[in-house]
Formats: sequence, C-alpha cells, structure tokens
Amino acid sequence: MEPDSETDSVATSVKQVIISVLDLPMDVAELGDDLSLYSNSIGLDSLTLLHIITKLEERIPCKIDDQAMMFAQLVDVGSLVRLVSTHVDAGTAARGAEK
Amino acid sequence: MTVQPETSTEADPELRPGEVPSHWYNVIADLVGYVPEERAPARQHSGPALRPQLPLSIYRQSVSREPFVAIPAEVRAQYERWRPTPLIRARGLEQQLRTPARIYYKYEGASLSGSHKLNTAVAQAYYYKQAGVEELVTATGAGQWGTALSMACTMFGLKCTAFMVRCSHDQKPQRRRLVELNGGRVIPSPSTATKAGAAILAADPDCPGSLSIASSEAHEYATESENARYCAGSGDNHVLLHQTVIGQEALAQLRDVGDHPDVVVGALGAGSNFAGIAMPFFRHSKLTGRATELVAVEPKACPKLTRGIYTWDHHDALGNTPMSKMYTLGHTFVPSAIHAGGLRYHGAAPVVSWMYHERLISAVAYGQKSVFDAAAEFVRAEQVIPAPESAHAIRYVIDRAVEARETGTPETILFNLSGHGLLDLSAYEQWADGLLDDDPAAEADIVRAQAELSARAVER
Repeated sequence: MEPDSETDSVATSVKQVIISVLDLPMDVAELGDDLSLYSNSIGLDSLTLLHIITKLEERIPCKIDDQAMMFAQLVDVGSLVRLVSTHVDAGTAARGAEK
Repeated sequence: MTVQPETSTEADPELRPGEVPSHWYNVIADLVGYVPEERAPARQHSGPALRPQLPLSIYRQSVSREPFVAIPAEVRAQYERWRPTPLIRARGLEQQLRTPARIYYKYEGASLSGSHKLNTAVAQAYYYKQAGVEELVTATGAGQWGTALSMACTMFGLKCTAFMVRCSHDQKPQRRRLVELNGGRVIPSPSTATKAGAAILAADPDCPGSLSIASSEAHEYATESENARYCAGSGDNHVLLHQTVIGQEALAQLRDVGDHPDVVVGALGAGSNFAGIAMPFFRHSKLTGRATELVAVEPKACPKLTRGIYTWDHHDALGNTPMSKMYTLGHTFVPSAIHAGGLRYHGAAPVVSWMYHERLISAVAYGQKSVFDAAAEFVRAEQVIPAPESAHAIRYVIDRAVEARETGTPETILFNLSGHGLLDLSAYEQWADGLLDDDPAAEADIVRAQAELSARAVER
C-alpha cells in the first residue's frame, strides 16, 4: 500500500469513528481536518476522546501508549488523525477503513 | 511506555487467606444492561488543546467488560506492605448488644495512610507515572484521600496538590500537616488560586466548601498545567475497581473461618468505600445463588441515594466535567459541614447509582449525632476509633444487630471499617460536649439545586 492511501484510510476510519461515537449529523467528507475538536459541531471532551481511541483500536491495527496519548497536542480533527497514523501497524490499516 | 491492563475471562483467581489479590474485580462484567461509556459531554472546554486527564490504561479498565484486571507487580508490591488488612470479629460489640448476630469488620484503618483510599491512590499514581505525568491534582474532603494520594505520589516520584474542602481543613488541621509531611501541598477550597474558587468566594465569602467545589478547582488547575493531571478518589469506575481488594480479601478470610455474610455494609460518599467491600460479594451471589444483601449508608446531610433523583449531572460544582447518569442532589448542592467530610458529595458513582436503580443494592441515611452515638458505642466495645465516615456503617450495623436480637436471627453481618478516626478527635470532643445534632439536608436546598440542574439541562 502506498503511504498516501494508508494515511487516507486511517483518516477515514478516524472520521467514521468520530461521527459514530458523537452521533454527528454529517458524513466523512464534511468533517474537515481543520475542524476544531471542541467546536460546537463536535463538542469533544477528554473522556470521549479516550472512548474514540479505544473504538479505533478495535477497528484498525493501532495501539497508542499512555504517554503519547497523555501529551498529544490535539486541537483539530487533523491532529487526531496524525496521532493515530503514527501508531498504526503499517500495511494493514486499509482493511479497517473497509469494515 | 505502554502499559496495557491485563484482563482475564478465565475462572476467578483463587485467593488464599494471607494473600494479596492478584486481580481487581470488575463488577461491570456482571451488570447486564449497564453501559460504562455512557455519558454526556462537558459543557465547556478550556485550555489550548484537548488533553486527557486520565491515562488510557486506566480508561480501558474503567470501560472493560472483563471480570478481572491484573494488578501490576509494582502496585501489588506496595499493597503487600499493609495488605491483607485484618478481618476482625467484633465479639465485644456482639456481647455489648447481646445479639445473636455475628459481626465482622474489615479494618482498612490498618493501611499506611489510615484508610482504604490508599488502595486506589497507589494504583493511580503508578499509571500516571507510567504516562509521564509529573504532578497529580485532586480534591479531598476529610483529607483521607489527600493523605493517601500524597503518600502514593511519594512512592512513585510525583508531586501532589490537594484542594481540601475548607470546613474539613479547619476542623482537622493535623490532616494538612500529614499531607505536607508526605510531600504534598494543601490548598483550602474554595480558594483564590482558581477562577472557579474565586467566583464562589465572591458570591459567598463564608462558603464552607464541598467536594464538588474542590473538584472544580482541582480540575481547572490541572487543565491549565502542562504536566499536571486531575485524579479522583472516588466515584469513577476505575476507583471502585481498585477498591475491590477489600471485598476479595474479606470473602477469603470469612471462608477461612467457615462463615459468609448475610449482609455487607459500607458508608457511601460517592461509592468506592461501599463498592470496595460489597462488589465481590455481588459476584459471589451471582455465581453461587446465595443471596447477600448489600447496604450503602449515607449521611442525612447529603442523602444522594435516598433523596436524590436519577438523572444526568456533572461531577463538579461548576459543571465543567462530563455528565454521567447518577443519583444526585444536584452538583450545586452544598451539604452542611458535617464531620464525615468524605461523604459530602452531591452524587453517587454511576455504577452504584445504576445498581440502586435496578434494586440490586439498598440504602439508608442517618443523622450526624446518631452516627457519633454509634461510634462511641463501638469504641467502648472494640477499642477502635472509627473515622466519622466509617461510623455511618456502624450505625446501621448496630441497629441491624439489635433487630437480630429482637427477632432472634443469628445472621452474619460484615462491614467496612474504612478508616481510623485518630485525626477526628475534635469531632468526638464536640459530640461529647453535646454540640452535634443530626443536621439533615433542608428540603429547600435540595429542591433549589435540582431546579438549577433542570434549568441547565434545558440550556444545553
């Protein structure tokens, strides 16, 4: 798999899980990378963030350690995608996005 | 460093008397219909970026559906310094009451900090240290949690800051010294150190404080600090989980003497004292079919189960934390300044609340004077001075044992003597001087706080 397509599939998974967990009335294309995680349309809090991470871990082959999670600078959707991307087991992420 | 909690679906770990449990018991695995992730988001977010306050490992524990979570070796090694705590048959009390009931208490006052709070303090300090956190910030009522956390932080090389409820801080000045001796810092709450505290003091300069207010301050302090994080001493699922070493040990110790409780009793502030001793017996009942009654005892000054409503509410006074479904008096409710500071919390733990709603547990409430009457009776019989929180359980146990005498019921009663009262002697002095009354919550105060909660729900 090409790196770009892998990143895209992780991004899709992250956005699908955000939409699912928060029950957002939008689709993946509408959830832009620059959208603030605590904007009115997302309204994420720190516990729900951890919930999203555990859901992602069930869906794609990634495992985020405590320290990386605790000190990640998460501001917008794109920063969450980058955090997950750096912890993904390369080569198998695409399968997750298809689930 | 990655710390993944190990869970197990295999047979229950066998515990022999004299051993420290190898796993914590997760009651959520046995609660059909309970959804641990269910919550409503926080009303507002402050700070430059969204930062978790909880290590991912602890979060995984708190939403796990596996019945057991392995205790890390480093945590178990600390537990072995004071665990297993003694299970003591209160023969003196039985004789004094002339009851056919057999009364046992699990004495958590034997811990290094003098209360059960150290069981979760050690676990949380371990996980936060692994996550790279440098300072833990918390709210403490009577100071038992602040004492325990300061000790645990020292064990794992962390700094500790405790916002201590002002009325308890003034009632128990030795607590501050104890926390400071263990390297912690104490800030009486409400304080001017945070915007939350300053706002409350502006509205009421004489505010006695509450655990909910102190939680707001601790949360604000933590969210505005890069390397500090907020941690809780009760209420959250993982805290209840860590306390189950109490009930697991008691189950094994009672088995060793050929007995088993008909009723298990614990005081209830948010729920970890009660859950710690009660939940392993809930599992035992489920596996064996042998019924054990589980009774939570709360103060009439803060009767969240017996007079609260089951609804969504915040965990702190300012409403900055996510909402959970709980029995609550409303997060703005400020209880009177009873000496059982650890029980002055507006809501019950979501798990305990759900179990109460499903009638899997029961609850009673007592006034402060009657609680101290019972504590004094217990001291005369057993020569152990209970903390005011633990004395709530004793009030119920004495009433139950007297009832057993009148009905001729030779039942077995187990309760959690969650902490000693050696730093609460000023409270006993007030009781001896006749200065304590029952101090029940005023209906108008509950109605006001719950009306504010309803109004906020409409705003959301």
